Amino acid sequence: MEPNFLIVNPDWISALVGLLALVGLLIWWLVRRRRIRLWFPVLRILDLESRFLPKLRVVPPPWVVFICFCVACATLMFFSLRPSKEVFTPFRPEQSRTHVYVDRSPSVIAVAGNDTWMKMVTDLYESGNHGNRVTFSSSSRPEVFEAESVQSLQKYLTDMVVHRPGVKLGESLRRQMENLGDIDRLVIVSDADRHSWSDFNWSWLSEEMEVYRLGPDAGEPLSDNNFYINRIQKGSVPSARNIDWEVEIARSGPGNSASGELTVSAHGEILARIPWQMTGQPDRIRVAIGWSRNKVSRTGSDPVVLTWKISVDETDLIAADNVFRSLWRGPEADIVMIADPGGERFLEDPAHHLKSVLQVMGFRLRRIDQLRGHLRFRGGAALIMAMAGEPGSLRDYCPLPDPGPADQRNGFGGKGEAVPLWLMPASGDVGYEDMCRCFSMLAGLHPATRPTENPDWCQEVQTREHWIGVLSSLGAKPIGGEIGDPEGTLAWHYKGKAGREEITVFTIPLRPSRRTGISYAHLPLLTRNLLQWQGVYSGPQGSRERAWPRISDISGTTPDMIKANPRLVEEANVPAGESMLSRMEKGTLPPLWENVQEGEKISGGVKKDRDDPLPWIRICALLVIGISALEGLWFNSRFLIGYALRSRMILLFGLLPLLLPGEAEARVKLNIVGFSGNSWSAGNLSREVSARTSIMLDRETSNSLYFRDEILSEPWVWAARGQAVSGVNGELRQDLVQWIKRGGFLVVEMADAPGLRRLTRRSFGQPGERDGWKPIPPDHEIMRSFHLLDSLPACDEKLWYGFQYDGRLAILGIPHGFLTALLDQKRPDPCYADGGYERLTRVFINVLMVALATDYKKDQIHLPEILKRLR
Amino acid sequence: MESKVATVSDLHPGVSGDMNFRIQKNSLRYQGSHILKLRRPSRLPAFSRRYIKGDPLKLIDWKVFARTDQLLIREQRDEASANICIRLECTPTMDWPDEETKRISGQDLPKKNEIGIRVALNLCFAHLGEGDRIVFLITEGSWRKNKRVSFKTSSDVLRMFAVMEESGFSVEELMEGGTSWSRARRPFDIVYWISDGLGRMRLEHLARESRYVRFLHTLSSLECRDEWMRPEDCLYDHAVGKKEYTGKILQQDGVYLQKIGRWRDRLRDEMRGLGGAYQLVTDQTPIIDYQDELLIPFQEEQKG
Repeated sequence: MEPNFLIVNPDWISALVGLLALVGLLIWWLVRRRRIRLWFPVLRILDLESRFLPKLRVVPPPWVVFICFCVACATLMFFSLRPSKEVFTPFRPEQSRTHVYVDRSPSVIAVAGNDTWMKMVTDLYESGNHGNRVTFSSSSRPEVFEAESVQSLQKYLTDMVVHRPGVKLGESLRRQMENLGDIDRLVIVSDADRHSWSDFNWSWLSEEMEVYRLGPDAGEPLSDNNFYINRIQKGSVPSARNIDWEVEIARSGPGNSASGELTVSAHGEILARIPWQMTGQPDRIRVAIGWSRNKVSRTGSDPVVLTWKISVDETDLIAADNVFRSLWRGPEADIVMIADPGGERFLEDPAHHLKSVLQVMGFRLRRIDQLRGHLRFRGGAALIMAMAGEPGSLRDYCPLPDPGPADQRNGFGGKGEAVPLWLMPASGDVGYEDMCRCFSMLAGLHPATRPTENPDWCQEVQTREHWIGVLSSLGAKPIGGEIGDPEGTLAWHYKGKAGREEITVFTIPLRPSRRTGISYAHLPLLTRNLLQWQGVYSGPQGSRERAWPRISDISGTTPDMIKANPRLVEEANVPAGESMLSRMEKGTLPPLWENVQEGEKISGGVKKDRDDPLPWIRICALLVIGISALEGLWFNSRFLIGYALRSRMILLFGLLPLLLPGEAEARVKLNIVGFSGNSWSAGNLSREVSARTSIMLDRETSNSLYFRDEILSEPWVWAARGQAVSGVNGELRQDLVQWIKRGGFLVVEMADAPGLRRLTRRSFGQPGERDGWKPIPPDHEIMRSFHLLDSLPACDEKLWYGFQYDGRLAILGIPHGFLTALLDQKRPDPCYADGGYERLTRVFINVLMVALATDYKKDQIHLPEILKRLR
Repeated sequence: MESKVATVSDLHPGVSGDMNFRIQKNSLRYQGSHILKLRRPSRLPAFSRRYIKGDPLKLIDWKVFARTDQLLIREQRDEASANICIRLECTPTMDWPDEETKRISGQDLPKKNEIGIRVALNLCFAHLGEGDRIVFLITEGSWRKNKRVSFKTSSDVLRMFAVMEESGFSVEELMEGGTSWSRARRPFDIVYWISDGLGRMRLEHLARESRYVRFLHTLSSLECRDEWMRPEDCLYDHAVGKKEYTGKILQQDGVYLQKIGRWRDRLRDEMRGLGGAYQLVTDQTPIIDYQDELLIPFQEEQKG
């Protein structure tokens, strides 16, 4: 291990390098003015003004060396900078990096014990840590951890807490991916929980890395149950004194019967407690629970947090979902309803259904059957509903203001603000004249001199139509109905000039009736909408109780959210998907780590596509050394041979490419003879050859229709046919024979066996044992000189022949037109018209290698590599 | 062979044979004083001199005038020893030019101290030879704090000159054995003030000591020229204000020479105003010119 004292904080090194670079820049530009200073005492008596001569001056540096200096500084800065984030990718490219993501959801711990998971992760570390790099992170701790030993890993796992329920592996990994760096293999330690794995397209990751899962196989049934509170809702039975709720307790698992107790608490005080019992079927029950309204007091506008908790007598896998929280904002405001019940039975009560609706909505209703005087009540009310009855019952329902002191006559409620009033008929047969009179008095339209008299506009009001006409003429605004159809209106809204008297006069009774078209189902919705429009009702009932969140993915909670409402985030309800413990199907999850072969675990991933950084670092180091040497040369030369160095430095830089050793390469030209046309080029072929081998093939070919003596100076010649290189007798030209004997290589296309034999009939004398024309065997050097070929392109069952001379291949006979399919001006032979460009290219390269190097692979030095590739 | 003119930098005390200080003592300035007694004219050349405007006509030798058309005065004096004070101001500015300046100028010039010592010893030797009483004072700072170097005979001056030559004209060596001097009991007849004028000594102080002051303005020849200055070199002095100039600035339009000339003119005018005489002495001043100018009587200079 490297001694600690050698480890220097890279930030300090970077700061030092930056400081030195800055000082260097200043020195480059700011030069102390080299001035000889002479004491001249007579200056003191001369009539000259005092002045200082500048000590420094800005001098443009010699640009070449200055740029070298800047590059050196930048390189040093690059070397000294600390990466913005720790990179766990192995430095050596032959090593691999495995990242283990541990899911610490409660469901995971529920499926298998904590010790089991720790052992699985520890075994994984030991199996995959052979020279590779293994890092860890978890759903609860996104920081990347690299274990130095098994002990440190065990401590890391022990310290890893089980986080709150609800995590989506895909989202959690996506957020961590930015800090993970390059990974060759990702192992996700998790169960097959559907909630965790939902929305996770792990297959996308498998394009960049190997993805495995460590955990129990998918589809394995759970042995125990998980009981949880699925939902709560307010009771549907109206009650003025109690607050009733319905709690749904659900179960996941094999379906064992269980029992327990349900408690509700608020502010640490238990409000209600009730036992529950669940048999084998069904898997969820509803438990009704309630408590008196007086038990819960709401302070201010803050809602009350109700904590619902179930205790289970049987084994329960996840304990976190036994607690459920909800917000309760308390009862709605008070509504004063003035309506004559009409009888003892509720069917005779015209306000019965409206009353039920208001109670279910949570309003506290104060019912006044008959007013008989002025309206007086203590406390504020949000709304007054007055239901008009038969003619002559004006004083029974009309809530005239209290004639008390002037400062208390504000609105209908006595003290306080004005309370809106709903004036509605109890039935279709009511005293509309009395309603008009009541309306006039409440709206302040009545003549002040005759407060009790019937105003003129009310004397003729006998029917609903009359009443609508009067309302319209008094300035009320219609509510509901069609535009231009006053008789179809539901109500008329009137607001006094002072804004205090706000009266809504209904033209039809608010009760289910076939005549009015208000059904039993329609009445609650209509009432809710009217109350919302009036501003008395703030929202639907259900949302008020479901306001406490279920966070299905805690990885999305940001620090801002936690800071804004820590309790809301930390005590969020367990998402239902987590509690259900639903399992993914087989085949939908990544392959199990246990199924990976032991050798593959050690060897590491094969998908490493990162480059080896060492060459780049070496290049940078050489750059720094070279530039520093040039700097030193310039610095010394500046004092040794003066400043006239710029031209020498430029000359040195100009000569630098000549001094540097270039990459070794062989350049060869394709000499073709007998190909019709003069514009054959081998651009594509040249690129292919250059990219694959160290041979530079000229783009331009040396093309001649007939044989030329210049060709004999080239190492190889490619003839389109035998006639191009033969004499009148069909034999090879004599000078060509001599050229072949000296080492030349000839390729002849469109040549059959008889024609080839005719070429060399008498020219090469008595052939040796292995010399002469022979078909190219599968183990010929052409088949393995560069690419390993299994066969040569064949057509019409014609064979490739080779003329062996002096132990080497001297002439290659190709039965078809071969080269034209590879040259830029493609004129492929019909045999190769269906493609196979890659195969032809490989054959060409092999032929080229044989032509230039014969069977060089016979050297023993190449044998191991050939055997390796053959395997 | 190129002949070299002897300059003050080669001045030796003995080079004063031709000096005749009677010329000064016989000047009108001293006529009527206790030194000069006119009884009857003498025809001896030693008692003759040219007529100066204002001389009594009765002293004119009319016979000579009739014979040569030249007005000659025949005087007869009694010789008496004069009280001579020779003040050498050895301020740090006199220790110039320094080695760097000499290197830049390319000339091995003596420092102003050496010039002043040479001139002072020369004057001492001359006056002692005439039988005068001399007080050789060396002033370093304040004009009241002086060191007196006593010479009884001319040979003492020569010995001191030898010591000075050996020590490289060291002021410390010169002042060794000197005694403190506060002020004279009676005014001197002549005060020679040898200084570069850059110290604290003021002319009015000297005027109190004598009616006749001769200011031997001792400068280096480098201070009287500007062609030796290199344009990029910095010439500075931080004694009075901080002044730094390049040679190029000082040379531009001859500004330095103009300023130096004005300064000298101003000193000359001040000396005249106080009844004294001004004489510039540099290391390049020929000895003969130095002696000639030294022998010009005060009034002639005033007239001239």
